[in-house]
Amino acid sequence: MKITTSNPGLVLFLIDGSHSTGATWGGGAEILADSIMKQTNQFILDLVVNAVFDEGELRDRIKLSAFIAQGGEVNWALEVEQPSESWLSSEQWANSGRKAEGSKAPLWIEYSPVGKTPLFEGWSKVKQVISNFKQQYANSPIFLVTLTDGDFKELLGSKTDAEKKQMVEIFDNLKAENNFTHLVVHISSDEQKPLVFPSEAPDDEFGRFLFDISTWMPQMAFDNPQETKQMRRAYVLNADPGTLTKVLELGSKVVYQNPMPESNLVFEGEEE
Amino acid sequence: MTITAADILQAVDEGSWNTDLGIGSFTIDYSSGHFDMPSFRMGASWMVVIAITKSKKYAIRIPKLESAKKPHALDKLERMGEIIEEKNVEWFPEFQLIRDALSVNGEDLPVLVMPFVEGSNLSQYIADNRNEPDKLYELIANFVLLENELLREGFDHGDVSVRNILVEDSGKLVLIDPDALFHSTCGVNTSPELGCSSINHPLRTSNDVGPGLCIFPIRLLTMILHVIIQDSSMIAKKPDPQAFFFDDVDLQKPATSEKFDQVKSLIDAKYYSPILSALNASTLMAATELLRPDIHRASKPTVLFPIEEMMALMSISTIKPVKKRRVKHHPKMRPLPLSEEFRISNRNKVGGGSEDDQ
Repeated sequence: MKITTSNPGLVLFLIDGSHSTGATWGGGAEILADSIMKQTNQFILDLVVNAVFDEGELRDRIKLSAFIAQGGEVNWALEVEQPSESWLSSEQWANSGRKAEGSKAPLWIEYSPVGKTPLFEGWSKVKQVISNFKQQYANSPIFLVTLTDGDFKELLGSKTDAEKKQMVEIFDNLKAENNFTHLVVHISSDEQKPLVFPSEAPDDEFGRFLFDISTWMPQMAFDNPQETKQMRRAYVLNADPGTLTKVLELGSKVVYQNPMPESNLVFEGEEE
Repeated sequence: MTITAADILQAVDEGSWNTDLGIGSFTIDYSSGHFDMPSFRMGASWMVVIAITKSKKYAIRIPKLESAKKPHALDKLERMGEIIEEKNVEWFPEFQLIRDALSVNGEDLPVLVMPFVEGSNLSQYIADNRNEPDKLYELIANFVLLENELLREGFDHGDVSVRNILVEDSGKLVLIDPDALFHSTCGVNTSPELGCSSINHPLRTSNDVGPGLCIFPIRLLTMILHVIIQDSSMIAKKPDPQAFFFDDVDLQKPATSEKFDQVKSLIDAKYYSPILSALNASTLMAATELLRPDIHRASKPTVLFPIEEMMALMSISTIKPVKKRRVKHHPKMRPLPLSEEFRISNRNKVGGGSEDDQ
């Protein structure tokens, strides 16, 4: 079902703001946290341009919520004060981006890397926000983006098997409802080969856990028919800067784009 | 590198034009822009910015999807531009394709230049006039005219929606969105888009290429107008063009739709029964035939005269055949002789039915 003012979508960001995101990409100049902020703000700008701003008016088609998991806390990430329901109307968030010199997109999300990564607490938090949203908008689509550079030790090392299983079950329950997409973007500064939208889970426990909590990627995200031939997970492991950019561009398309026919326009008698 | 709508707006803002757009010097309209960006209007495949010259305003359409930039899609648009110019129809503005016109992130994009139509978008026009039955009845009459004119000239439009119809001060309806425009002499075997899902038949697929893609949405809009005439509170003061009256679930499941229950309580069955029957049809073509049984006859190929008149003219030797205006075609396009126009039209008729039966 497409997003409209009477059927608004919810977009949630859960961002790993830990100390390790202060590292640079492969020893270069740009730090991971800056890339995360840049691409997240671009994602939000794409929502303004493609979904919210229409016929000269702001339409309340997308509610926005964002949290930063860093240190021992999960904090509200947007400039506008956190409302009781933990999401903002389009009018509240679309106008709150700060224009900054040298930045293509206005800034909605800014943070400084610090501390550890309480992602499990973050996922519990967003699960509560989603439950509240569902009570008000039962049929509306929900799009969650998790961005992290955490490794096995950081994310799962201190968790028992029961805790890990419980978290997978939380997402299984969310996935059982229609219109829920969870894009998990794991980034790495180590220049490892990225695994992008896999169809099968990786062999290692960490990679498989992130695969399990992600959902299938809606096919409308892909322009290339080759990419739509099999189901692909909304999941990237070891994203580099280019992959991060591309994946979040596709992610924003999933929110605002209506399904398109896969086949191309061909003249009668013309061979493809 | 993927080009986003924001990238396109930035390129327009920076004036990254490669070529003369054929409209003289112009400035870009920023009056309703956001974050210092140009004013824009977003379509499914293209976005529109407004250029202002000393004497006129123009809509500049720029493709935002890869599929809209493909050579055969552009060839088709070029051909449609020629046909619109040749036919000189009142319900669609002329437009011209200019290839490689705008440089965005190192890629040269084509643009479509068309005169800016001064009019209200249909959605807001209906909302603003919801308590003016005369104006709404006038709209209904104009929809009948529009449908007949479209079909009579061999045209079809695959994305009739409240966003793609403008209402001039006179009440006249003007369609926009050239990439959804079809003509019987410019056949396609798949549709590039499925149109707005809250106004198109839910069984429509990319294999539906007409004739009569415009009919279901026009008849649905007509029914909605009858409802609003009876009860103006059925429409919001500022309706969302994405789901102007129904949403896509209402059309998929009319039997359980509260909105349809309200419709049935407000207007005579003669207005809603055809729509409900069409929604229960097994294919879009079957639905179209229910709404307009003469569709295959009504959607004629474009000829200067009906065949009977042509035969009569040819038998009168003193009357010279009317010389058809020569149109400059794109090198890849070949002008179709009359006989071939008929052949393609007939093939469309056969093909349209068989594809829908699958």
